[in-house]
Amino acid sequence: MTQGGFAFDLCGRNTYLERRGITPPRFTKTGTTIAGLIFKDGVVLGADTRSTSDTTVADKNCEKIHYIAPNIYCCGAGTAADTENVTGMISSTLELHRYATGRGSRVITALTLLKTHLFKYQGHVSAALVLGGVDFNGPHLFTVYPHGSTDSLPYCTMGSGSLNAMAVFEDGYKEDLTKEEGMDLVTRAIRSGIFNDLGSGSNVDLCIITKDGVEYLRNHQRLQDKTYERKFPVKYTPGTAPVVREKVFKLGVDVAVIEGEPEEAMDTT
Amino acid sequence: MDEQKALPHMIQPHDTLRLGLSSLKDQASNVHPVEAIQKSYPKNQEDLKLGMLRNLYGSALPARMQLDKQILSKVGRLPGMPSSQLGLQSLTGELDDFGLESYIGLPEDSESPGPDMHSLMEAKHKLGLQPVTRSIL
Repeated sequence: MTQGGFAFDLCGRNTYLERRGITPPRFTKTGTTIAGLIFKDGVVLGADTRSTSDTTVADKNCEKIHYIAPNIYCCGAGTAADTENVTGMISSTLELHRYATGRGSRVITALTLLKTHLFKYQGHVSAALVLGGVDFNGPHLFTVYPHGSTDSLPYCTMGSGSLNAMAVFEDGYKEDLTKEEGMDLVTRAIRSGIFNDLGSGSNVDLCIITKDGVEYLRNHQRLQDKTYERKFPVKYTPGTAPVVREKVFKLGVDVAVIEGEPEEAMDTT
Repeated sequence: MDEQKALPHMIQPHDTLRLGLSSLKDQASNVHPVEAIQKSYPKNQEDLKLGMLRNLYGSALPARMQLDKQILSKVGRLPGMPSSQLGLQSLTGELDDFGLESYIGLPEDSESPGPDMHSLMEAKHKLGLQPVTRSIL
């Protein structure tokens, strides 16, 4: 190996093993509802927090809203590792770009970087993203598909719960929403994904980006907490076990307790 | 992809001790589609860029750029040793890039030893063997 990057050393062995009927473990997917909308003076992004591995819930409280730049955030659906690494790579590229130019990052720069990377790998990097941010041109919202195509929309959803969330958006979206209305609509959209899509669940994360700053509300709503949590060590109240039979033994010596002052105080000097 | 379906001509005998057990078919076919993308992408991009420049400014400018690139890519340490190639990186704009190859699977983190300098020098002077590209694992 003379340079970094992907290693294909074990691919031959793995295809050989698969031919022999050995199924490798599957990737951890986000199985997601992510959504975003543009309101009067910014962007609201929202995500659920369940990640799945095949039919098992792998993480009940994972983070799906990733940092790109101080004014840009990105929700990720698809293979969890791919979304995390792609967004991490773009954020470091933009950091270097800001360092070189001395200017704030634009959302369109992040979008172009993302789509060229995803198109280069022809869908092998399975990351479906909702990219939102505010730059000096105003608020922007984009969706990026795993093969590198993009959309620019006032409201958009992604992931397995996208249909549920889009139904809520189609019903409730109007232009020039206030911040509170926008937050409420995104929360309702994510909630419909959480309760109706099996790939999505647990909590609602929100991220509100305006030109004044970012408000990242981790676990804005906790929807599927445990109703009962086991306490340890277990404490039994007296009388939990009923007394079936009682037998009192009388000892040989009678002991009597006499009340009053002791006869002589102990010498403690 | 099409030329990789056919078996290549065997120019020299397979050196099992250096290159590990493998068949001609294994070497001919790409093991993973992403490997093919990674191999072809930089060359395709450069061809595209040079073609565009040729259409815009004529053939002199891309020819000159390629000359610059050839000169700068010759500067470096012996094969097998890390050379920074600062001039080449600044010419291609690679200096500002931070991709997967900058932090994933770095050669200094590899558990298998890299190709030995003898085979690298042989490959450089076209004396025969290709340097080991895959580990024996």
